[in-house]
This record gives sequence, structure tokens and C-alpha cells, in this order.
Amino acid sequence: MNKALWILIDAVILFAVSTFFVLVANLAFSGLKGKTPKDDPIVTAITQGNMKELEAAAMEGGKVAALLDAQGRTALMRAAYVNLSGDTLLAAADEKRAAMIPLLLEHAAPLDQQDHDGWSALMWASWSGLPKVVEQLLAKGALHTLSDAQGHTALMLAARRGNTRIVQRLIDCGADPASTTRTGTTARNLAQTGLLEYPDKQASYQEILRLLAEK
Amino acid sequence: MFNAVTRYFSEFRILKSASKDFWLTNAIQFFDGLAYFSMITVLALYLTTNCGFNDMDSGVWVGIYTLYITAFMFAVGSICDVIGIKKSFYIGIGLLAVARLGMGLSPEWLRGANLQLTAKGFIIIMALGTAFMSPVTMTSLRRFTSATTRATGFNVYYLLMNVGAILANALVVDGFRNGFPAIAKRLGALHLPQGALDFIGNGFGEVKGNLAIFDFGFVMAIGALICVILLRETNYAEPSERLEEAHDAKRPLSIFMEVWKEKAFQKLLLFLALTIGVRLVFTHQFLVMPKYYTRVLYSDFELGLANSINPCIIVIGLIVLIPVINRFTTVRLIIIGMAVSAASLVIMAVPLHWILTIPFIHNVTQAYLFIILSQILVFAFGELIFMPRFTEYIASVSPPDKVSSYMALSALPTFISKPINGFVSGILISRYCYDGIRPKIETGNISYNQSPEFMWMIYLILAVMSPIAVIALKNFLTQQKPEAVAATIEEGSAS
Repeated sequence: MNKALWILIDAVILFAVSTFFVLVANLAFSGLKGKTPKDDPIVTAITQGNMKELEAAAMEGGKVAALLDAQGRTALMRAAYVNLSGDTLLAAADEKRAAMIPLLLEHAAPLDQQDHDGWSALMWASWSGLPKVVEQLLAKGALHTLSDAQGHTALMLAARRGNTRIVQRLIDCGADPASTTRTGTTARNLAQTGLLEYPDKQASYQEILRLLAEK
Repeated sequence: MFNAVTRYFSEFRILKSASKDFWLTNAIQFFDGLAYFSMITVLALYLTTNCGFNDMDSGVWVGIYTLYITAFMFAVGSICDVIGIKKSFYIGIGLLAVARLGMGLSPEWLRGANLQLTAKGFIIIMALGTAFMSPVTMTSLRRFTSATTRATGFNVYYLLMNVGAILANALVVDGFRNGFPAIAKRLGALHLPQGALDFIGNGFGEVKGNLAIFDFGFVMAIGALICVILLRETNYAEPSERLEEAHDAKRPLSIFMEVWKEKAFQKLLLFLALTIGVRLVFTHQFLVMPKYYTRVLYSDFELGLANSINPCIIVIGLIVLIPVINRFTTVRLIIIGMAVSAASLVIMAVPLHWILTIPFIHNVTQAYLFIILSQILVFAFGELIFMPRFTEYIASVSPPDKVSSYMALSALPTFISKPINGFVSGILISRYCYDGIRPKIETGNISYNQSPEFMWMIYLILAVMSPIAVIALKNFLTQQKPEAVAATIEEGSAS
């Protein structure tokens, strides 16, 4: 019994010492930690594709409008971004994310705000390959003329990634295929680069090159 | 090579005489390994995606989990000596079952701060449960093997542990998160129900898949529990050890008090502290890699498959390479192994556009796949050289009567470094490998000092310090009496 008591005491000491180390490390890193904003429940709900949770989180006054992460991204931008390789998964994500756009806009998410690199929600959706999200954003009046620090527009990003439907939709909305990046690259050049780099998406890139040539 | 494989497996024939309890212990370890290795691969992702921790906090809490495992492990050996194997297994598996089920189910019911607090509680419970498993399994294997079957018995244990790691990653992690589309296509011709085909083809997806991995861990705990019920605790393979063990129970901290003033122990601590930089690379596998893989490639990347390559190489290497490697001296191999392990980060730290100039690499995805695969292969080779000799070195510098104490306390430097590494990894990931970095890399918005490659450069510098420091202090670290080394190696390998 005495032995068991000593073991218990030692276990408590070890637990206390471990916790002490954690607290010291926490204190030592608090300066750096403070610069990392907490992930908001809104972002978690968006990532999980949980509409019910998003509604509940958005109801907390002013949170959607104020949300800004360390890269300067808004809730709308987080909803407009996925990075998936499978077409089935991408289509499912597009469906879920598109349903979130009107809700976020209703709660005053800024439509055309740009992050630290100059990307807007429309640009994130164009790169991600989310045609329904792009549709929602354009329907609400998102600007397709905005460009990032390198001079990429939403059309260029969609052309670079081989997202045919989005290129078509942006052209229909009046996006200019002739606009260039800071280095003089056009959407057509970017689609050609994509064709060389990703031969498995040959059909998409060729269709994009055809659409851009028509304009 | 064929001869090496035959020789390795022919040793296992000796285990025909091993008791049912030896195999039950291996089954417990196998079930627990499947659950542990699948869980640890997704833990950082689970905390972020399912519980809403930011990158910083998820890194910290994975660090805290490993820290508490190390801390609790000091106490568990003594607890096991007092209460016995079966009760220790019951406590460990019981804690793991509760924690895994809790972590699998709580994100379904709780949200926000409540969920995060609950997850933190379950992480501590899980750490306590995990800490129980390894020392109790070791005691159990030792008890159920005789002097003649012990070495082979431990080989089987190590082999099964690695096989468990391979299956956990390649089948459990990828199966639940992504499914196996190629297999689903082939099964389509068999007219299976659509629901089954959908699951095989797509899994549960990232969010539900993570939860299913924890639920799977709970089921494995039940499997392990059934094996414990069937275990006969008093079935000693060497009856003479029954008496020895009865007197073995010690205060957990007594081993530290016994050795902390010894010069040899202080020298060992210095050696271990010098090697922290490179040993942190091992923790990257679960702290940094899952987020790195899914962010620089894509969220549905088969990270289980990537993580199963390392144990595959270790298994093959143990069989084929170890006899060749063992011809070299311990310290030289430790230095070479550490240098190779550290060098595995070089390719991750070079600017991406350098990789893109390699003739057969055409795009960013191929470049990152090349980087990841190269790192895994080089690191596994370094680990293969370094790890077995590392344990041997600890045994060789310990006084003959204190090998097990030195072994137990060799975890001390990592005990201090684990929470620090948790914080550092969290800070680095949130700055250099945040969710959404891939499009910025591909469009030239990220300079080298903002890129994941820069993060690896920081880790590379830390890792490279280890072999350099050991080379610089080699003479000081290896001053010992030759006869003591011989005696302790013998004892170390027996234990």
C-alpha cells in the first residue's frame, strides 16, 4: 500500500512537471503566438461544409463581416477555396460552398475585399474550380476586373488551372482575355503553360484556348 | 537477398514452443498499433478540421500529447510491477477506449470552446492510456518468452508493430478518408450495393473520415480487451523470473534519484541533448507532414499511403540491410545515420524552382511528390542506420547494473523538447504552410522566405547541428572502459 502511494505521488509529480514545461513553453512563445489569430467557428463550419453550424455562427452579430485571418482572408474567401484533386469531391464541395455564399453575403461579408496578395473571393473560387460559387459571386456583382500583386485576374487563374466552365462564365460576363500580368502574360499564355504542365487535362486546356481565341 | 529473408524468417520457427499468452500479447500490440498509427497520422488534422483548433494550437496539443506519454511512461513501469499485467492492460486499454470513442463522437455533439476543452481532456486521457501500453507489452513479452525465445520474440513484436503501421496508414487512414476509387471501379462489375461501392470508392471524406478513424480505434481497443481477458498472467516462460519480478517494483522517480549525479549519466544526457535536432525530424512525421502534404498537394492526398512507405522500408531494411550495417562501429553509424536523416530535409528546403528544372518534372504537383518521396526514402534509410545503434549506444555507456534505468531516462531530453517542438511547428505551419498556400505558390505570390521550403530550411539547420555537435564532442562522449561496454551491450541486448 505504501509503495502504491509513493508511485501515485511520483505520477502526480511527473504530471505537474510536464504541465510546468507546457506553461513555460506557452509563456516563452506567447509573443509569437499572439500574432496568430484564432480560427473562428465560422471557418470551421465552412471547412466542414456544415450549413447549420454556419447559420448559427453567422447569427452572432458582426462576426462574418469582421472575420479576417493572418493572410487577410475573409469568410467569403475561405468559402470560395478548396484544393481537391477528384472531380466527384470537387462537384460535391462546389454544391455545399455555393449554398454558403448568399448566407455570408446576407451577414455583410465584404464581396470584393482582397487578401494580402490581392486575391478576392472570386479569384479564390476561379482557381479552386468551383463554378457554382463563381456563379453566386458574379450574380451578387463581384468584380472580375480585380487583379493580384502579380497582375493575375480571376480569368487568368481559371485559365491557368484548366477550369473551362469558369473561363466560359467569366468571358460571358465580359472579362477581358487580353489583359496581362505584370510580366506581360495573358490568360491564353497561362492556358498554354497549363497544357504543357498538365497533359492529363489536355481537353480542358484546349477548350479554354478555343474560348479565348474566339474573343 | 533471398538468403537474408529466409534466414530472418527461419528464426521464427523457435516460437513454435511459445505460449498462447505470447501470441495474445502480440495480438494486443497489433490491435493497438493499428489504432495508434492511424490516429497519430490524422491527429493534427483532426484538431484543426474537426475541432476548430488553429494551426498553432493543434501543433501545441499534439506536442502536449507526446509529452504526457513520455511523462506517464516513467510511472507506468512501476505501476505495472505493483498491480500486475492484466490490470495494467485493463487500465491502459480502458483509458484508450474512452478517449478514442470520446474524440470520435464529441465533434458530432459539441461545438466551439466546449468541443475544444473536451478534446484537450481526451488528449490527456489518451496520453495516459498510450503510456500504459508500451511498458506493459514489454513486461508481458518478457514474461511469456524463455531465455532462448526472447530475442526472436522481440523481433516478432517489432515486425508486427511495423506491419501494423503499414496497414494502419495504407488501409485505415486512406480507406476512411479517401476510399480506393480504383478498387471500387473493379468491384463495380460484381453488382455490390451502391452504398458499399460509394464507401469503397470515396471513403467518408476528410471530416467524417477523421472521426471514423477514432471510432475504429475504439473497436480495436475492444479487440485488445478480449485478448487481455484470455491472457493467463501467471504463465511465466521462465519460472525463475517470478521471484525476481516480485521484488522489482520501484518508485518511478527513484531511478532518476539513483543516477542523476553519475558522470556517465550526465555524459549520456549531453549526448541525447546534442541529438535532439535530428530526433525532432521523427516528430515531424505526425506534427508537420500531414498538414504539409495536404496543403502543398491537395486535401484528398493519400497521406496514409505516403506514411506507410517508411515502415515498409524499415521492415525490408531490418531483414536485408542490418547484417551489413552491423559491421561498422556504433558511434560512426550514429553519426552517419544522423547525417543521412538530417540530409533528408535538404531536398525539402531547396527553392521549388530548382526542383522544377529537373527534366522529368513538369509541374508543381510532380515537384512536391518528388520532394516528399525523396525525403521519405532518405529519412527511412537514415533511421534504419541510426535508431537500432542509438539504443545500443545508451546500453553501452550505462553501468552494467543500471542499463534499464539509463534506458528509461534516455527520454528526458525529448521530454523537454516535445512541448517546444509543438509550439515551433504550430508557428511555422501557420506562417509558411497555411491552408491555401498552394494557389499562391503556383501563381508566384510566395517568395522563398514565405514558403514551406523556408520552414524546412529552419528545421534543416536544427537537424544539421546534431551530427556536427556529436562529431565535435566525439572523443569526450566515447571515453569509457572497453570491458564495461562489452558487458553492458550484452545485458542491453538481453533486456
